[in-house]
Amino acid sequence: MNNASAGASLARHAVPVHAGLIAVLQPTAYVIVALVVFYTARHLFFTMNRLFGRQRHPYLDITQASWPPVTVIIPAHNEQPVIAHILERMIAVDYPRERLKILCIDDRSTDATPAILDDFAERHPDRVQVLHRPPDAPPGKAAALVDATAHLMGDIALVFDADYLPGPGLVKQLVAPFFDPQVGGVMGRVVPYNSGTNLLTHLLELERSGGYQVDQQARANLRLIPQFGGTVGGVRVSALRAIGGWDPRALAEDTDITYRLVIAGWKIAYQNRSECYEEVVESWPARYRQLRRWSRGHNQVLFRHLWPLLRSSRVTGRERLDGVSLLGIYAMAPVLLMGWLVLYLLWLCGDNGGGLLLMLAVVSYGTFGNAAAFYEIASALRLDGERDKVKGVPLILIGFFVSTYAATAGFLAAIGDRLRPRRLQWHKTPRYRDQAQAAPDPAAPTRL
Amino acid sequence: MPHERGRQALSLMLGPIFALAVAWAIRPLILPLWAFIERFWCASVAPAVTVIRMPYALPWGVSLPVPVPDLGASGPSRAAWMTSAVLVGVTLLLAVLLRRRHLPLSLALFTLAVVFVVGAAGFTPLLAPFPYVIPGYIQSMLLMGLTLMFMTPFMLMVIYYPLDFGLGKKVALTLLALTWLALILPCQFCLQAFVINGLGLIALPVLFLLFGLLLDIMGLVALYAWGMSWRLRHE
Amino acid sequence: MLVLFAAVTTILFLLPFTPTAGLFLRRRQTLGPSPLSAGAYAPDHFARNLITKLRARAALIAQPVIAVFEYRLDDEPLLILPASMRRAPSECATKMSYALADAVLPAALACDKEIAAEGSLLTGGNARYRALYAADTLHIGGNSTVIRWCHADTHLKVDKGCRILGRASANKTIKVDAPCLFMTLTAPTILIGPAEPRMGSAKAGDLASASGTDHVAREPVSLAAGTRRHGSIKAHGRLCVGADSVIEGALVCEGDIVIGPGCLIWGPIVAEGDVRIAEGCEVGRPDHPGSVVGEDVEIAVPAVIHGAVHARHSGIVTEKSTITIL
Repeated sequence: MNNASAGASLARHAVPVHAGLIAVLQPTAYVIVALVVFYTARHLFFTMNRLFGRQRHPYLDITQASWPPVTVIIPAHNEQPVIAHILERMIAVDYPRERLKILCIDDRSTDATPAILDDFAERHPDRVQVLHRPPDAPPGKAAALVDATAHLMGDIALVFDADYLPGPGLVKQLVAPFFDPQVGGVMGRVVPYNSGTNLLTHLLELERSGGYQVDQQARANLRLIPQFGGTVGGVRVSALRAIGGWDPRALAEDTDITYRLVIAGWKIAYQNRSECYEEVVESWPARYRQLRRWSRGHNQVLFRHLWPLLRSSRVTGRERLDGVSLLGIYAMAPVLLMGWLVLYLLWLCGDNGGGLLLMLAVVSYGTFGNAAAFYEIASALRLDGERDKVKGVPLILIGFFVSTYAATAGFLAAIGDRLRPRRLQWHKTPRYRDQAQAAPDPAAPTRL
Repeated sequence: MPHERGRQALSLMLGPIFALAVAWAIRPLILPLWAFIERFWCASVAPAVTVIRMPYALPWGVSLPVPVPDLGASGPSRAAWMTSAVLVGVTLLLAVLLRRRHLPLSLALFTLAVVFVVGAAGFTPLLAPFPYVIPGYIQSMLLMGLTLMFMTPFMLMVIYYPLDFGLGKKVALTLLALTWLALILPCQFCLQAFVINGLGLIALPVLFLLFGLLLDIMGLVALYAWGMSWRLRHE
Repeated sequence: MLVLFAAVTTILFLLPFTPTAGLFLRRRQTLGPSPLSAGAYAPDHFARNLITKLRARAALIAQPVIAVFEYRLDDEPLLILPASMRRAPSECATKMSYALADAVLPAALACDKEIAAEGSLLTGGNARYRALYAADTLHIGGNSTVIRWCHADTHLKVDKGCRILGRASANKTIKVDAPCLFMTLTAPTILIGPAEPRMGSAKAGDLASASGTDHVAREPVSLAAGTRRHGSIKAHGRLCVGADSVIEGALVCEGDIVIGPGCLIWGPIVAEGDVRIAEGCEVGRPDHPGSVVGEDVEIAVPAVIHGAVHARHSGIVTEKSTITIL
């Protein structure tokens, strides 16, 4: 039974025959662990800033103003279950009637979306305009936004996805930062309304909470680069035109615009209290596809804007550092997988770098995936007053596990795009609402 | 205000205080406790198996007698290779079949298969010789467990102590985490020793990577999350 | 035994996850959507909530209210004062009170509960109130303190020496006498001291038309006296506007903003530092409101603001400006 114990004088160290392999893997491991530690420290820094730092909400209190003309763009591709709900809400927003234009884009829909949009336009001709894109128009949200640019009213364009449920004061809150002439883009906060549906939706709520309540707000506090997320946000049209408009080839048009605005010297404002309910995906395959698409698009932006960002004279040093780390966030998923593989191989070679492995285990759990670290999420939930939901935090490992694979797949696809440009395949994000029913109203008491 | 600052400073001091307490308790408390737990389970599962103390010399001359079950295991036989190949095939097939309905499970199975295949490479000419045996492996894992116990108060010092929880809650969470680690670590790795003994060394890499410290850190995160859900002082 | 060992180890491993399991098995209702904070930021949010509840409660009373009677609202005692009774009793200090018409509150009242009136509400001086609502005019006596909020559906008058520690709002005008402390004032016209609006007929224009001439400076900005500028200005550091200037746009600054005497500012004034406004200034126009936002806000009398003043830390209305640089 114990004949092995004689030779078991501890875990043995590097076997000489693999010295060459170890010589390659070891420095790689150090670099990867350093990267993961950097991202963990970044999350921790943001969390501490959000908990104990000075909070910046410079535009929150602009409640009374001479509100400028604004166009709300709602791109809709086969959004029959949800499109009427957002339009009902948008018609009821508190904004001067003559200064708000709701521009709905029927993006090659094959369901009842065009009819619903036309009906709204007929009932509210002064506010709602519909732009029908022909079936042979180039696909994608960015391409739809390009088509919308010619129909904008005023210098501010807000963008909402069709599944969102804006509250009455949201448009004013999102317009307020544009009184600052340096602001080129604005982002509000996204809150899932269907978080109680299943485990996935609950996990997505946790991710959103960490990502917005801590991450985005900390970046706003620190005057870094809050990210325009392509919905519940907007851009200054003159700034958009100055940087060449939406890029129809961009898969992540939001991140693309964020970086182009920042490189051109504009600021992105984040409004943490401009909250809007959204419908998050309720199935894992849909989540996987969504994340893979985001990762692919984000990494396209990484390849495209990393060098211009580093060279730009219009961004501050801290913006540059934050911009680079934000660009790399989806690339960290393959780096993390690579890190585990490298350390595993080293261990198999007998290089028992226990310390490194322990460190990777700890910090990668903190930065697993790309959304937020567990302490960041827990802190965000406490800031939201959601004490009970913190107990669900350990389960984020499941979400992060899937995210890591999806983000890696997206990263590889982005590299593929770089090597051999391909025509993009668009997957429609499924909707889970019943059009026949009234718009969901979580009817929650307001938080004070 | 000075009182409040003193309270905060004391909170942050809990990290080094508890870490030092762990360091102090390793020889007189933790290792004897682990030896007791391992002897108990060895006597219950296989009375012939003894628990040996494998000394680990620290750089400053102190030796840690780490208790490990004196179990052995052999490398994969031809039959074990065949069985493993079939099991990997079945796992991958299941991963494909479950992809639509249970994606996380499917990816977990895929990961398991990949980790197993890479680990099995350790027994092939590609990476051979496989450098671990049960006692040495268990010893190194328990040592890493001790390191994790030592680090836990420092991690809490960064992510929990600065928050406005009562001092009692901070102490309670730390004690809870350390006690849980002190109990789970010997059970976890003693059980792994028996599993490797039964399945052969080919199971060792998978147990190391997927069922080793990752599980302990998951447990710590769960305890942390529970602690974060407690009421703050002003609530 | 090995199975038992495995089972015990598994249970031991799962123990820390018990609260997580409990969340999903026993407290699933807590997994619903997080509430939004949107509505809470409307200036009259608390007033609307309170009066809606009071009116709903009063509607349930079958017989006409002819004497003070104690009812309950949200498990708290509620005094309903009949329309015939103008002078509120001292019990208002400890119980939520709802007057069905005009009401007059005694002086030196230390009131821990909300008071609402369906008509005008006149409060005595040297008092402390939690929250006040009037469906008509609300007049807060001198040297009083309002801890949470006060709202008038028509006019709000705040006498000198008052401290408004929360929100003050009115649907028509707020008139504040100096000296006075405040946090938030919101009304179509806010008259600071003996002020009168003087821009009602000024030439119309809006921010959209001004956008072409916006100016962003990466350093402090100081505008000379008598400057007339069309467009918004953003400065880093400090932004000073000389006396008698007219700015047809917004003023935004990452530091302090100082407005000299007699200025007309058409757009919002937003500072991450402090805002100091000298005497004789006007912000916004009757048909185009503006906001003044700063950490500490100091306004010297007389001044007119059409819109809102928000002090993130504290606001003060002073008799004499402390601005000396211009």
